[in-house]
Parts: sequence; structure tokens; C-alpha cells
Amino acid sequence: LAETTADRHFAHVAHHFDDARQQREAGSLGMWIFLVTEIMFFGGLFTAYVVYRALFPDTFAHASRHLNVVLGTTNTVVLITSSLTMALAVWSAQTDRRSGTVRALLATIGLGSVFLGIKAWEYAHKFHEGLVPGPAFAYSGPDAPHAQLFFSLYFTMTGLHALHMVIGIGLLLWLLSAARAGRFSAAYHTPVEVTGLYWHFVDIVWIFLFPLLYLIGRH
Amino acid sequence: MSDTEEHVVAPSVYLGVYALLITFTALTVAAAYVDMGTANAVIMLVIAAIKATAVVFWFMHLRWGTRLTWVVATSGLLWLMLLIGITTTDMTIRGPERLRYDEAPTPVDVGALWPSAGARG
Repeated sequence: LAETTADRHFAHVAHHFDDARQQREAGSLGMWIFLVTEIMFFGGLFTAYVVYRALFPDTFAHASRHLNVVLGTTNTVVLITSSLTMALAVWSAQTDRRSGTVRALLATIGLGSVFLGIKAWEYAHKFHEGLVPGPAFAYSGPDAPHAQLFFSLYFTMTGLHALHMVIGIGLLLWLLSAARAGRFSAAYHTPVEVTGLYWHFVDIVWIFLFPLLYLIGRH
Repeated sequence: MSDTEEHVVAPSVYLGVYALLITFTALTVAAAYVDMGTANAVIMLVIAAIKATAVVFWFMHLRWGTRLTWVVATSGLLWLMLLIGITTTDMTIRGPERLRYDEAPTPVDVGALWPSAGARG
């Protein structure tokens, strides 16, 4: 059987899809649906934050001052920059720039790791200062019992966010090896696009977490 | 190759979005140090919403997404608004003071509320 142009053209299209476009759109739609469940997952925590902050606004403002704005801002810039490099990885894959894809993925992995490193350093300090909820909670400010609520939300929300980052870096490492092996091209790069959607979503969660946790009560 | 065409966003566009995101990050940090009362929270959330929209539209390509992707993305936002909206409405109507546990809540006498339950117990 002679291989036709169409066969080569559709080499990456699974048999249950009509064409590459349908396959690509189905892939990205699947990720969007997953992200909607993620919105609700984080949404519950954001709702808990809204309720408790409305109940104890002054306590939350005081507790927030114990977070480091310089580190928080640095991490925001680091994460936004990693979203840029992720977007550039998608562009490189779309335009057949294999080494560009590899470099952009490496940059994204590096920036993601810097974010987690800064976060770990912040956590270590919070443990040291007795700001971790539980028996060792040694908060010196007013209304310590409700300040514990703030720090519970801080650790739960940033912890789950960090877990998403760890998973994201795992996905990026997998993309990196696939990109190195030359598995992506202008015709097929859905894994890069879809992982990008996930990575940008995690960035958006941080875009809301940063002001709500670090910036309240600064004035 | 019309069936494989997809919108390729140029790096210059991504850089423009990046510049906007960094600018608004600086803006939100600066605004946090100025006392504007309740406006602080509003400004903070409006800036975060602008940043999130920029990420969704350009980085996540929703601008060029299919109609079905739009429906899914919008439904996520809608359910989130219901979750937060109905919860805060409930809180406002009850009054926050009734949700605070500054004192231990008084145990409810079930028998008085529902005599048959008391009779059974």
C-alpha cells in the first residue's frame, strides 16, 4: 500500500477523530472542563476565606502583616514570567522551533522551581516564628484564636497551590523529554498547549491568592 | 491544510500581555499601602480580575477558542459566582454577629421545637 499525503498529514490523528483540528479542540476542551472543576475546588477555599475575613476583618489584617510582601511580590513576578515562557514554549512548538521549545520549557521549569524554593523558605520561617496553626501556634498579635483561621487558610490555599505547581513541573519534565525526542511539531503539539492551559490556571490562582493573603492590612 | 489551522499568537503579543501583568502587579502592591477604606479591597480584586482575564484571553487563547470552550469557561465563572454570591448573601441576611462563636452556642431543645421527636426520645 502506497503511503498517501493524507496518511502523513494525519499521522498524529487518532482514528476516532475526523481530523487534526477536531482532535486538538477535543484535547483542549477536556483540559478546560478539568479546569472548571479546579475553579470549584479552589472556589470552596476562596469562599471560606471570604466568610472568615468578613467575620474577623481586623484579625485577618493583623495576621496578614506577618507575611513577607517582598517574597510574595517576587514570587508573583517569577510565576507571571513562567507563564510567559510557557506561552513561548507553545509558540515555539506551533512554529516548529524544537530547540526553542526545549529552552522555553527549561525556563518554565526553572522559574517554577524558584517559586517553590521561595515558598519553602517562607514556610520554614513561619514554622520558626510559631505561625503554624496547632499546639505550637505562638501568635503575639491580637485575637490569636481567629488569627489561626487566617494561617490555616494561608497554609491550605498556598499548600494546595504549591502541590499544583509540583504536578505542573512533573508535566513539564515529561514535555521536556518528549520535546527533546522531537515528538512535537507544527502538526502536533497538543500536550504542550494543554499543559500550558493548566500552568496558566495555576498562575491565575496565585494572582488572586497574592493580594488576598499578602496585601490586606498594609495601609 | 485548512483543517489543521490554528491561531498562532506572536511572541510580541505575549510580551505585551506580560508587560501588562507586571504593571498591574506593581500597581496592586502600591495601592495596598494607601488607605482608601473599603476601596482597597475593590481595587485589589478589580486588578486581579484584569490580570486573570488577560491570562485567560491571550496566554490560554480563549480569545480564539471555540464556542464550546467559551461555554465551559463561562460556566466555571458562573458557578463560582453562585458559590460565593449565595454564601455572602446568606451571611449578610443573617448578620455576621450571628455567625460568630464568641460564646458557646446554646444547645437547642429539640423536644420543644418538635414535640414528637421529644416524645420518641
